[in-house]
Amino acid sequence: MALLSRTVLAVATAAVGLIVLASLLTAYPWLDAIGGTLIDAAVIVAAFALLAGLVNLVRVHARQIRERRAHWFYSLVLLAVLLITLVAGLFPFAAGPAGPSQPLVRWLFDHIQVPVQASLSALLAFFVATAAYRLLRIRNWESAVMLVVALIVLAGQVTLGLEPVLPGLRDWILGVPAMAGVRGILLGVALGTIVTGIRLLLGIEHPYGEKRNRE
Amino acid sequence: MIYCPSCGTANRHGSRYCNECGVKFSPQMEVRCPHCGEMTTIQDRLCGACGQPLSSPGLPELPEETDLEETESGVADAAGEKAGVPDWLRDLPSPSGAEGRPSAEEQGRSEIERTLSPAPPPLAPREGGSQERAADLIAGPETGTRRMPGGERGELPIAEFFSQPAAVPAGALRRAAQDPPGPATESSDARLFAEIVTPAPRKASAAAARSPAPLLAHLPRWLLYALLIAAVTWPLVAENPWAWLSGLVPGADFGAPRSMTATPAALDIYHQIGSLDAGAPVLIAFDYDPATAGEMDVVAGALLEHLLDREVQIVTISLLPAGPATAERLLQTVMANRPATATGLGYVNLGYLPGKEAAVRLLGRRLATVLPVDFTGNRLGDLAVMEPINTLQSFSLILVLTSSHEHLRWWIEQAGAPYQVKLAAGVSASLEPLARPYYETTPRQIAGMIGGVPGAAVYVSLHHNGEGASGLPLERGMSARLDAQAAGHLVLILVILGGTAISPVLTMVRRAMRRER
Repeated sequence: MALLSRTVLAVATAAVGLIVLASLLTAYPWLDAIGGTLIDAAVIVAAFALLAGLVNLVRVHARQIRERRAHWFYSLVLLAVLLITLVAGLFPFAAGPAGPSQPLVRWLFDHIQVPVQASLSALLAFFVATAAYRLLRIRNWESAVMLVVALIVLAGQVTLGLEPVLPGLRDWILGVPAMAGVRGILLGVALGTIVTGIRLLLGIEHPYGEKRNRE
Repeated sequence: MIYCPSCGTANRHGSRYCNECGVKFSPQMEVRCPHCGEMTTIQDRLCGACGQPLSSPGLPELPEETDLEETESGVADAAGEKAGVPDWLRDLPSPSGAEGRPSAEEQGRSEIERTLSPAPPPLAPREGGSQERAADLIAGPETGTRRMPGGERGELPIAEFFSQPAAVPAGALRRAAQDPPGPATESSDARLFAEIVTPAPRKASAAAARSPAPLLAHLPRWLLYALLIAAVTWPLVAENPWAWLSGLVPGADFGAPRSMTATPAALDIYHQIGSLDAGAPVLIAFDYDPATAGEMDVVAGALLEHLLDREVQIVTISLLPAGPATAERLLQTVMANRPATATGLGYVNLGYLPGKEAAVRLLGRRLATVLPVDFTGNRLGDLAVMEPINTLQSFSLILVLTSSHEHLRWWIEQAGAPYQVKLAAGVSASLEPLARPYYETTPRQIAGMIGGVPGAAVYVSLHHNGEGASGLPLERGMSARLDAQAAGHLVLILVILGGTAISPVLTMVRRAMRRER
């Protein structure tokens, strides 16, 4: 039974993948229409995944509160804010249609989400400073090269009368050796994507059946 | 035993922190009684429901409030006690239950068998570490008889017993060697064996978790943070933050207005936007959220000013849930500071589109079907400005504003390549090196781009002062931002150099201290 369902899944995946691929590579209107419908379905599934994620979030945190687990109070705050945002968005208290443009939702975004996310992101500066102190040390010649390059790129950003030598050197590092590395990475990613796609189409790779395979 | 609710590790009774993950055992935490299955407080010695000890039957426990260092030395000191068994070992409960105490021989044998016999595959509380898993370990299978807690079998795999000879207390071994043979010895051996295999508390980690590091240890870090805050704040509040440096370096004038050079990529995007006709539809992908808005709003603002000056029709969209609100926030700020345009065109915020690269692909097919209403709930069909816009090809330019490589790649792969629409990008400074390969191709996959605050500063200068390949004067606001960034970079450079210089000295001091010890 498991083999049958795995085969059905593999065939369905391969069929969908091949149709979408063919619709991209050929100019048949009927194939293009089918391909478009399938991509449309992918977007709908992605939207549904958001809903499933929301339900799961509520379940996990509700259990956290019910069983009084560690930090359950934070779960309570999360669910409360979630409920407030949901109510504020679904039931318009001000003029205009329901949704994210409602004033209360916008207020929550501007006064809670923006400061919190920005503050958390700003903490990176301190982490980077600590990491730079602890990690960027000369231990061997590779680390020495890395340290020198890091110093040049950092100093190249500073606009304090150091132009044009250091910014030029920084641009050369980013434009030649760094670019070569990035191109290599991008080509590797592209080749990896192609190989993974072929494996999916041939049914060798089946991430959708992971749980079943474990069993 | 106390089984950590976080990672499942078995800790001695009385432990206040997990030896494995360092989680604090609060008095409110609950565990399942191995005898009756009822939940009871983690620090209780006896189950509140059945009165049985919560520790696993037969295994030794540390006395409560025992200091870790005292415990280890205490084992050795106890060697001189009666029969080599301390009081807390003599009071162990019987493993065979309440109905009749077994003989010492039976007890000893059963303890050895019980400890040695189970050889299941090692359980994986450390792999999963989930609370559910830990709860399973504590509860074990429902057998209806007295048994060891389920987790203990996996917690003490036989291989671990013999791979940790260092954990054997010296006094315990001496006591074992002095014991005469006989039934009593077997029991004593069993106790000794149990004592050996009980995981010794990790002194270092527990001590680290219990006592906060001394104030002095945090001082260098706090000083570094204070220096960073001061360095970044100073240029934002001072009128001419670097003028004082002129006195230190003879002949140098750090207070003079500074200029920057425009990169070819910045010039290209400037030309692209500059060549747009009034009323030309431009799609802006706001693929960033408040986390990176501090940097990206500067980039986006510089490009938006130019676009609005060109009086183009702006349509925005986002592949991130927080993107539309971020776009709305910036657009309203920018529009509020501008006089009404001659054409009266505003902007249309299409909102959030889930589906990642599939969504971008779909936009190339039919726009109104994918997004029937905009961010404010207006039907796209009712908006006159959206009438001529059906697909991605309808736009004269697609401007991708992002700090994520994935998002940039999706737009290039799913919109730029298949539909042959012109793409330009405003990216964060960290993304710029990754975006460059797309610009330096023939034909260009990105028609032009700017990166980070320096790119935005150059673009604003280009926009306000006209084209010039070099010597673009910096605006005051942009100059302050750049100075703050430069100060932060200088601090980082000092930190790196300082760390590199101090490191060998610190290593020598540590070695000397170790030798002394």
